[in-house]
Amino acid sequence: MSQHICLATFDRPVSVRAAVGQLRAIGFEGDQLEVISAEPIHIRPDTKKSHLGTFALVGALVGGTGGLLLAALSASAYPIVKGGMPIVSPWPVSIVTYEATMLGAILSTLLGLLVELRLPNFRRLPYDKIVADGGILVAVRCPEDGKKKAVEQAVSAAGAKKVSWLDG
Amino acid sequence: MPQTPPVTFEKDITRDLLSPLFQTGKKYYFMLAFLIAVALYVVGVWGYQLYAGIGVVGKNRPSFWGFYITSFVFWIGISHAGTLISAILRVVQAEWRRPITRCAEAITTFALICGSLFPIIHLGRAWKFMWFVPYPNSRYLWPNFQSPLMWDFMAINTYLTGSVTYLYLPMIPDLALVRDKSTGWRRSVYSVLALGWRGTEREWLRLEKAISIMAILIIPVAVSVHTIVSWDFAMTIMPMWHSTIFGPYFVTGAIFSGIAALLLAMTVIRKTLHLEKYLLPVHFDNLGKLLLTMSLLWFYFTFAEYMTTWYGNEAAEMPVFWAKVSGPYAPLFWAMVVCNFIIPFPILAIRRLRTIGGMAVASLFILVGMWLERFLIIVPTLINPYLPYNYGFYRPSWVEVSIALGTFGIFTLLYFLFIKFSPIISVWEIEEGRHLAEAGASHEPAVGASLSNHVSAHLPGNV
Repeated sequence: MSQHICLATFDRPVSVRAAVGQLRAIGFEGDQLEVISAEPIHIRPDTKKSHLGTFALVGALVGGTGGLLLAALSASAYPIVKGGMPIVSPWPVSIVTYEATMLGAILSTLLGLLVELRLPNFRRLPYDKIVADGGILVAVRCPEDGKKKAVEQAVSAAGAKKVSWLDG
Repeated sequence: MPQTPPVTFEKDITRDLLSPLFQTGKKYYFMLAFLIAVALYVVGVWGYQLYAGIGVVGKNRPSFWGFYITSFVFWIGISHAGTLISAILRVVQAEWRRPITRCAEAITTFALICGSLFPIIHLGRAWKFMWFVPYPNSRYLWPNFQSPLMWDFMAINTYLTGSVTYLYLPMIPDLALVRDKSTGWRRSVYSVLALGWRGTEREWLRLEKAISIMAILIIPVAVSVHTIVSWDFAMTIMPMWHSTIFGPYFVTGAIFSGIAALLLAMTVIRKTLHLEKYLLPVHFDNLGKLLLTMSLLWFYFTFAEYMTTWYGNEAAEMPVFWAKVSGPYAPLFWAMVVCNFIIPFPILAIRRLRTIGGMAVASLFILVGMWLERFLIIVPTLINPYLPYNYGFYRPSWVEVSIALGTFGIFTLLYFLFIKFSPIISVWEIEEGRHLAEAGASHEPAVGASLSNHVSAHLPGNV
């Protein structure tokens, strides 16, 4: 089924907020609406739970375990007493474990961000370079031809500077 | 009444901050050529050292550490300018951070690169560096993790990875901005680097969350890095090294020199890129106050360290102490005190003197002083070991001096290239600050507020 995407360009967040309110009132919700801007403007609350914290935690655990095993097993693999310390000495092992824990957390946070945002993504998605000039885009996915007029009316009433349609 | 769209000024911000990427003057190319020449000179001198052998440097028994390790500690210290300061300012949501963060984060990355070169150069046989890397090699020799040098390897790698990530994440939206403003090959390159960023609400929310997590993670990593560098010394039983306060002493010194480097970089950037509208006197003033605090802290730690040694009067430690205070290293020692405290303190403490120029002068002295401090920690101890018949002297060769000085050129070169690659001030963070200021959410004299006034002045009717 073909889908129409309305791209409405606004110049200020207050107009975008009004447009989003009106579009929601006529039944457009969730993923049907996308607000695209060159800086964060936070029009709607975050409804989807982020798992970035979990990613960081799991990465820290994996990194920490790896660091612990690396320091302990490599010392055991070549068991030479140094400085009167035990072969697997707790202080050095804890330092290596700590650094590996942090490295794991850092890398997994980056990975988590890429996974949650599905980046890199070079597919053609609703976008307009006017965003780089300070414009704010509202992309509305409109599955029915019958609603196109209602969408146009809603965004125009909210103060859209430009309205265009993409057929996808 | 027809209204001029508010995008007018937003174009101004974007244009101001992106102009260094798209407009290049002759001065830039001249400076770039000079810096490339410096970098090539360093590579050439290092090549000579590799060819002729480590004997061409001044290191010798008993001082096996000299200019290279001094520079290593110095640059790792400078790296504390950026990521740590930026992370702290982000965590406490200081509004005045916005124009500063990227300048600072870039310093961290490039200082770490410069610092990381020195252990490799210091090795002499640089190719032996691979033995640091923990992998099951042909002889099944694993690195010795009981050595603090291996902790360095782990900590610096973690910090470098974290710093590059922390620099890159907030750059993604600005890279997308450059992508949209570019054409040709440049557009292709930035399209890849921007990862397909569009700026949807979800993307912003996740990015901000990721930056927050990274800011929290990077602070303990930064502290651990210089603590571990200090343990390279403190874990030995050499006179005046085996000290419990070396960790915090080094971290304080690192933040101290880091802020000085940041202030100096900001002064140069502000002047050369004409960013006076964004890097405001209030930003310098706030950092100047922080620098003053660090100067006092540095003096406190130095005083505590030296007084404890003098009071203890241990036979092994006193020759090192006197070598610094009144012996052959006294001129350097007192120059360090002058550079790190006597000159910066009044400049930073007296409001009339705490101008941008004054702070740049103070920062320059601090950088010299902190380099001397690192040198004075390392060399006098090594040339005055426990056994007096092992006493010696260290004099650097032209090879060491060239490479140590040359890294300043390499650092500047990397920074110069970065200015052409990414906006040195985060465009989206400035815009966000402006929106917050407009919404009345920000009550601080931040750049957002200042720009908001600027916007009002440009628009018919207040926004």
